[in-house]
Parts: sequence; C-alpha cells; structure tokens
Amino acid sequence: MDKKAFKDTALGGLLNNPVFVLVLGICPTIAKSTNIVDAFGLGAATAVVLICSNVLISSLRKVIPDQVRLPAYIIIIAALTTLIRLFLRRFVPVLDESLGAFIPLIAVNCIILGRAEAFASKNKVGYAALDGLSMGLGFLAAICLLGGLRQLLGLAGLSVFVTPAGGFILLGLLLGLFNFLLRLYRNAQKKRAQSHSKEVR
Amino acid sequence: MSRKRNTAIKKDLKNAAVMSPTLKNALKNAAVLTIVAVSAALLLALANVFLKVEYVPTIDKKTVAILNALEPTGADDETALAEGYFDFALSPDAVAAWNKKNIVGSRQKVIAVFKAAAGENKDGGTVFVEAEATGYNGKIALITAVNADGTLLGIGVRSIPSAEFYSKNIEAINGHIRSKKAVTTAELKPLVYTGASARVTTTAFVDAIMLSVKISGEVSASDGQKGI
Amino acid sequence: MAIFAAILGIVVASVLTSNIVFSQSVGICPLLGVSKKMDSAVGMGLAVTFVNTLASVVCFLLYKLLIVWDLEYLDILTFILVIAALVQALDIVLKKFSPTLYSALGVYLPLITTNCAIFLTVNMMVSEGYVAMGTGLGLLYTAFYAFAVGIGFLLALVLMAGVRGRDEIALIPKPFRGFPIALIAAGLIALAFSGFLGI
Repeated sequence: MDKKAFKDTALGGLLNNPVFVLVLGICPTIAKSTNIVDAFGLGAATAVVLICSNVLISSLRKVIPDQVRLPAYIIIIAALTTLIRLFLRRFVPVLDESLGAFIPLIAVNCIILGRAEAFASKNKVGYAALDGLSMGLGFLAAICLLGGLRQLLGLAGLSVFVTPAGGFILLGLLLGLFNFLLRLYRNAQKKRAQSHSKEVR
Repeated sequence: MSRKRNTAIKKDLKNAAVMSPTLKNALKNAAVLTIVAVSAALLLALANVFLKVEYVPTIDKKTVAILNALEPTGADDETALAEGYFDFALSPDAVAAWNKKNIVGSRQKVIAVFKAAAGENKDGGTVFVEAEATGYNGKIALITAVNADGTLLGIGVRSIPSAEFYSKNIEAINGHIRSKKAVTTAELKPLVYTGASARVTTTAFVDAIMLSVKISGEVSASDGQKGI
Repeated sequence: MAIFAAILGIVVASVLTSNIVFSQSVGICPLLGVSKKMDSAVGMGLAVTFVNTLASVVCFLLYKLLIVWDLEYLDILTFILVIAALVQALDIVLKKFSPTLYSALGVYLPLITTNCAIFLTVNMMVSEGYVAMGTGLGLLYTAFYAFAVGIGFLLALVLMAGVRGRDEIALIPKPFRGFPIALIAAGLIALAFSGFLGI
C-alpha cells in the first residue's frame, strides 16, 4: 500500500474533519449534541453507516453508470440507515427512543453522501473503508466534543448553551478555534519543509 | 437489381437492430437503478424478519403504580399487583388490530388497554390506555385514564426522554387536563404546552393522549358495557 | 372556522416559534452554503418550500399505504425516493422555465434531496397525529404544515443572507471568517427567535 496515501486517508478525519473543516453534517451535530450519550449514539450510528456505505459504493463504483450515481448512492445509504434503525430498535432500544427522528436523518447526512461522491466512488475498497473509518471517527469526536461541552455547561448553570441557539454559537466558536489551530499546524509544517529544503541545498 | 435490394434490406435490418446510444443509456440507467432499489428492498425485508421487535405489554409493578395513582384502588401497589386489581381491557391482538385499522405505524400507536378488574373500582368504566408517540426529542409513552363518559382523569408517564421538557411538568399538565371532556387535538395542545423550546414534541405528547381518547371511546361504547 | 384557526396556529408556529432552522436546528448545510447572496437564498427557500409541501403530501399518503401493506420498514427508502424524484422534476422544470433561478441555485439544486429540513418534516409529518381527525383533514394539515416549514426556512435563509452580506466588511479575526462567524450569527438570530416563544 502506498504509505503516503494511507497516511493522508487515515488522518483525514483529523486534518479534514468533516464537521470542523469540511463543514458537513452540521444538522445532527447541533440538534442532538445536548448530552454526551445522545451525541455518542448518533455519532457511532452515523460512523457505521458511513463505513458500510463507503465500502459498498466503492465496490460498486465500476458498475453504477455515472448519470445515475447520485440516486443509486442515495438508495444504498437509505437502505443502510434503515438497517441501522432496525438493529438499534432490536438491540439498543434506549438509543432508538432518545434519538427518535434523527436516525432516519442519517440517510441525508451530507457527510455520507459527500464522502461517497468525493472519495468512495473514486478509490479502491480498502482506502474507502479507511476513509469511512477516519471520517466517521472524526465526526464522532466532533459531535461528542460538542455534546460533552454543552452538557457540562448546562450542568454548570449556563443553560443557554443547551438550546439550539447556544449550540450554533458554541459550534461557531469551536470552528473558529479549530481553524486557528489548524492554521498553526500548517504553518509549522510549512516552516519545517522550508528548513528541510534549505538543509538539502 | 435484386442485389441492390438485398443490401438495402440488410441495411434497414441493421439499423433496426442497433438502438440509438442515448436510448440504450437510458435503459441501462433505469435497469441499474431498479436493480439497486429492488435489492435494497429485499435486503430490508430479510432484515425485518430477523430484527423485528414485538413488544409484549405486561402488568408489572411500574404499570400498577401508575394505574393506582391515576385512579386509586384504596390498596397499595403491592396488593394491587398481587390481587390482580388491574387487567387488560383488550387483548394484545385486539389492540394490534385496532392499530392496523386506524393506520397508525410504529411512530405512534396504542400499546395496551387496561381496566380495573377487581377491588373498589371494578367495572367502574375507567379505561387506561398506554400509548406511545415518537417526536423530535424521542419516544414518549404515556398511560391516559379516561372515564366512561369521556372525561380525562389524568396521565401517567411510562417512559419519556430526559431531554423532554414535559417530564418535569406532568403535575401541571395533569392539573390542566383533568376533568376535561372529549377534547380535540386543538384544545389539548395549549393545555399541554407550557413554554418548552421544542414545540413539535407537544404534538407527540398530545398524540399519545389523543390516541388513548380515541380507543377508550370505542372500548367504552362497544357492547354497551363499561369495558370489555 | 376552528380549522382555519388551527391552520393559522400551525403556520405561525412553524415560521416563528418553532422555526425549523432556529428552533429545531436542521437544514444548516444549505443555510451556510446558499445564504451568501440574497437571490440564491430566496431561490433556495422557494424551491425547498415547493418540494417540502409536495413531498409531505405524497409521503403522508404513501406511508399509510406502507402500513396497510405491512411494509413500514421501507419508509426511509420510499420518502427519499419521492424527494429525489421531486427534485429531479424541479431540476427539469427550472432548467426550461427559469434559467436565472436555475443558475442561481447551481450545484445546490440537487442537494435539496439531502436537505435535512425536508426529510425531518416528512418523517415527522407522517406521525403528526391528527389521528382523531382522519386522513382527509390530516392531509390538509400536513400540506399547510410543510408549506409553513418551507416559509420558515425561507425566512431563515433571507435573514442569514442579510446578515452575511455585511460581515465581509467587519473586522473579523482570520480563523473566524466564513462559516464560524456565520454560525455565531445564526445562533444570535436563534436567541432572538426564542423570544417568540412567549406567544
């Protein structure tokens, strides 16, 4: 396996975080991050659907004609979401009950369709699975971070953050912070590459 | 001359046999989509067979506690449970049939219908309906007590998501709806609404109550007796 | 008369007090993507209203059919196919009759298929009880509710477009430019909207 491609894909969930960098999948991130349990449950369910959809779509990428690829992907993702819902209803009903209408909404999560279109349809199954795992974990981390923060702030008495308005604001702040940190990291990387090339010369 | 005609005929046949590329494409697209959709549906049907959940309602301690609170039997919960003070008013099959007849799916339905079978309130005509509805914040399962003449006696909570605002306001809601008769959804909503930020879930809450009212009306009306 | 009052209540609730974006926080992705320019914001809002109303009505009826046929687990698949078909139809219609709107929406037109606001409305709509009212009246309420949600979405887009048009000029720290400040602005608007709950 190509080492660089592997590394890039694996770190995609961090450096190309679906919520903080690609700004996708915001709807469930704000709506269901009022407490850590809901956040983890929805994040995990989404991640599972993402991995499965990436794998399926990557393996079918040569078979599905280009013109109908979006409807085909949507059907596949909707079917996987239904499977997850049936599974949760049977084995983890407490999650099904508290997430309610948001499990069907996994089917229209921009991240899943976005990765299917941008990555899974153009790469081999192994890489697609890795990308699904990485992006899925990235989403899970993002929604849990927001969920944990909102729950803590709510318990500390700042209940405005548990409302949707607070969710927007908190996510905006986190986004700005993440951008800032990412910028620092990239600058540091650039400097390192520059000094490297200077040495070589 | 016959050779010319042959070539012409051959050419016509050839053109007829070769479809235009766009038509071929459209057919291929439609075929692929149909195959994907049908496979997905079949896969889901298979999964549904294995993963289907059948909830069997039971008269357990928690249920008896709620029923006893709604219409006190004069005995405590343990006695009420042991002596069988409460029983099903409709069999689970009858409830399932009613759900099907009224075309309500898994998002909202009646779970069970109880009545007082022994003790003080036996044959008092009160119908207790356990109904659930799924809303924005999750699933709400309530037990609604309805009198024989259609008056609401009150509600008890079987399960409610913690994020749900109404979990903290059951007493206030009970105070509002008690003694209200044959309410419509439009009348019930403002009674239940107490300033939560997720108004949509008012609907799930109200749906559960309205379902209860509807089935209790039929239970009381059927064969003239109070309860079945 | 009571029906009219109830419908009015539903419309006001969906547009103001439980606005799909600011109270129920769905439909954010297109909100962030399209709200930069006013004309694409308005276009998207109208398109979403149209698709939402039609999809809700059709799915309301189809859902009842699915239950009767014991096929309730096919609901997600059915809803999304209905929405996709409607968006495709809208695509064709717009391309022919309103090329300006078509180009204003651009790549966001096919993305209406994955609009969380529409999908949530459809999923909630089929369970919006009105059980005691029967199918006919339930359908009417469904249509108005979905329409009102769409208008609420349009309102949200217009408000955001108005606000974002200005923030190009303000002095915003670099990491916050673009989406972060848009989200914070949305949050502030949502706070203002929660003031409507007093109604």
